[in-house]
Formats: sequence, structure tokens, C-alpha cells
Amino acid sequence: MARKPVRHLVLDNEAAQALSSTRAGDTQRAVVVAAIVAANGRVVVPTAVRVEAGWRRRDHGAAKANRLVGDDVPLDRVDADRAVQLRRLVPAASVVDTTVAVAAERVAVDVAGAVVEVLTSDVADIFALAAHVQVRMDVVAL
Amino acid sequence: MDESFTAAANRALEERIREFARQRAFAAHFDRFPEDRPRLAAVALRRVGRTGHPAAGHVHVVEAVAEWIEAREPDWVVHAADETADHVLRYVEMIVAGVGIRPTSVA
Repeated sequence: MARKPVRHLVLDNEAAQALSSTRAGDTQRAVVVAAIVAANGRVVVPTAVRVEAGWRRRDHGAAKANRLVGDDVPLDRVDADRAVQLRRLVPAASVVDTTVAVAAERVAVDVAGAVVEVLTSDVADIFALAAHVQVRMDVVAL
Repeated sequence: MDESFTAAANRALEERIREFARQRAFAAHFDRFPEDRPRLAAVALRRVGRTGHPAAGHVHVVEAVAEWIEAREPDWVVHAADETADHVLRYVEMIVAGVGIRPTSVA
């Protein structure tokens, strides 16, 4: 019998912004919502992504996004060191992209064989980072 | 493991409340934006992406099973998204493994 698949989800900036969209027929928002439904592991947003996307959890308009993506992945001392390490390997990656890769490593640390989906519009840089992280990443274009 | 019954109860309650809030958020979202409601087959296939699960190689079977379940449980995405996607994958795994199919007799 196949092992039950575990799929985590990490949102990048554009995905975080799309989730807050109130425009009818927003196809990017639909993709983000589908990814959240498909994830049966942790669904997180790195704190640096929230800053870039302007997602303040205490804002009234953030209630829905808060309920669908309740967990932040902060950048502590150890994670910052890891981000520096990854950025040296992929200099073209932005600071925020690097924190997305670090978050992917953090969320999947407890489950062997888990997949971490990263939903991003910056596929090239995240894909380059995925080659260096210690988890199986599925980079999905938004 | 939790260190006490109280810790276990608190953790279970917190998880249940978070799940309830998530369900309510999905329900409100799909009421407002029905076009965002995903197809069950798409969710099941996305769940197995890069996992090596046998369903990933049998898209047409996933489509058929998901369509069958979706017709019977139209509100799956609000009330039981995780479980319903799991059911699809389990049924596909059974079909692909040949469970319930009588072997062809050899003369």
C-alpha cells in the first residue's frame, strides 16, 4: 500500500497577495485556494513574505487569509544563517525567496517523504534554491 | 507525545477550532467566489505531485473516481476536503492494484 502523501504549502509574495484579492474571477486567487485545499500538512507564510505582501494579521481585511493560512515561519538566528548559506549558493535569489526556501525546510522537518509545494511567480530562483534544500520541493508557478 | 491529559485536551481543542475556522472561511469564500471552487480530481492530483504515489500515473482513473465521488458529495470542499481527497486516492490505488477484479481463467 502506498504511503499516505503529506503535502505542505509555503506561499510566496504573489500567492499571499492573490489570496487577499477581492476581484471577481481572479484566476491567481483560485490557484492559491486550490493549493490550500490540496495541502494536508502545514500551510504557512514566511514572515518576510508577509512584509513584502503587506499582509498585517491584525488588519480587518486579513481575517479570511488568517484563517486559511494561520501559521507564520519566522526567521530566527539559525534560519538566518541558513538563508545566508543558501543565498551564497544562489546569489540571484532575493532575500524573500531565500526565506521561502528556508521555510520549506522547516515545515517538512518532521515528516520523512513529505513534499513541500511552493507557490510562486518567481519559478527560476525558487527552482534554483530547491536544488540545495534538504526537502522535496514542488515548485508551482502562479 | 503530550505531557498530560490537560495538554492533550488543549491541543486537540485547538486543532478542532482551527479546523472549524478553516471550514467556515472556505464556506464564506466559495459563497462569494463560486468560480474558485476547485475540482476534486485537480485537488487529488495536486496532493500526489512529486510524492511517487501510484495515482499520479493514472490521471484518467483519478478523474473518473473523483467525478463519481463529487456527484455524491457536492460540498466535499467545505466539509471534508482532506478526507475526500484521501478517499479518491485510496480508491484509485485499489483499482490500479486490481482489487475486486476477477482474474482471467487460463484453459
